[in-house]
Amino acid sequence: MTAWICQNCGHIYDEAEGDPDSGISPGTRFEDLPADWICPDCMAGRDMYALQENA
Amino acid sequence: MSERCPVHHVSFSQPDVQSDIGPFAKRLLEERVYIDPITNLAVVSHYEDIAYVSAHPELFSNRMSTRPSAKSKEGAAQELKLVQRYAERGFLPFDTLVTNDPPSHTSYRKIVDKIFTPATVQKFEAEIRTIVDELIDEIGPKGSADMMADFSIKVPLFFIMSHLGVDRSNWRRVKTWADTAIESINPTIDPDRELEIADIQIEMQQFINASATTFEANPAPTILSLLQHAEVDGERLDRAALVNIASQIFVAGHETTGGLIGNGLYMLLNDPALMQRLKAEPDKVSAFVEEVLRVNPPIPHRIRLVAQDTELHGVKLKAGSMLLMSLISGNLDPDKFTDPDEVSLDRRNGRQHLTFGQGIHYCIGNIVARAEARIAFQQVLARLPNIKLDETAPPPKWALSFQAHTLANLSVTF
Repeated sequence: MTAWICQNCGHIYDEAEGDPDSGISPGTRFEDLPADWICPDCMAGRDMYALQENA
Repeated sequence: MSERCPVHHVSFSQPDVQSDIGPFAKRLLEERVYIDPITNLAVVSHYEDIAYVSAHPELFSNRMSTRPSAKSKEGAAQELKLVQRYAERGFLPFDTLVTNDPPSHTSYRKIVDKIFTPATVQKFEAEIRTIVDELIDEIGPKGSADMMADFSIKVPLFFIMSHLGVDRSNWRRVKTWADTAIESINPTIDPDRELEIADIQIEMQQFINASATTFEANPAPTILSLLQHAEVDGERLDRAALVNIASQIFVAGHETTGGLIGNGLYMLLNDPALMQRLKAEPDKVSAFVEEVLRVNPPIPHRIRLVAQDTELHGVKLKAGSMLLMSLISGNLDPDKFTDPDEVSLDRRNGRQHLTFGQGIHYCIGNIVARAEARIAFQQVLARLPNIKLDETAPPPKWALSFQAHTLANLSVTF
């Protein structure tokens, strides 16, 4: 499992945790997130995320 | 503000509201759209309404306040005077980031986004820590300090000055660049003062322009230089856009973060148990930063221009009118935050406050601001463990400002 970091605000999407508040189950890979999923903290789109290098 | 004063008679432009903004911010939640009786601004306060406004720039535009549009009541004649001043001696402000909409906003934002990434800001952290430690070294032996003037405002000011290539010895003058930029946002500003402020802003533009000339030939790991040399699709910012954007970054990056640090220190000084917990658990300081941003946002509200006739909760909003989003109210909305008055270091949605905005205008410097505040709080707690309010000095007071919710003074001993 890996983590992705929002380049806009620093929110971390950890694949192991998912994003339950947005209906994303733990274990969901970043690539499998719905196309309209957005950063829960700053509302940036998925394209603003980058793989967290030290995750 | 009198406890008995009806909410309909109250305005953010009143000094007694500015000196204690929290109670009014909470009472605004009793209504969905409030018409400010002095500024005539329509005010939205609920979290979901602010989110809606933020998500619809086609209805609620940000394209309204960078151009010298004479917010004073002198109208077109005043606007002409302002335009002439900027055109003759400086750079005519135009809409780039804060006061712009897509698609123009998007192209500028893409370039600036390249600079303020988590990885880049992480490289700045050592420099921030050095600034914080030097300031503590300076005040520590004195045994007392005004943590606003001597510390909070200097942390982000010294950081951003170094990144704009401005010598630190000029800090008092440089601070007026930011102070007056904030002051100029006041919708009831005096027209003569508006012209004076234009002159000060032009001085800032000239300094930044001179630094940009230096960095053009000698690139450096500074924000201005990185911004100047950043490319998206082979395009770089031209000088006018660079000066405009760097000016916005300077103002936004200094005044607000200084206020954030001061507001947080004040909250700690008033809550010994919280201070003790953070001393024991410094990793929780990041969560505390979010709570400061939520409960005492240094910028308590933002204004949007109604771009087309629309309606909110039955209130008709005419194109050309102004709407104010009360961020501080939305941050205290119990429908979004459980026990909103409580400072909790364990909120699951603690980073979802409105203080940095939402969507396309989310504060571009948020990662820097969060880092500066976190490092400032951690170092104060570690190095000034006996810090407390100075009971022999004038008590802390909120600055009387329409646009900022920051302290005027914060005298402490340690």
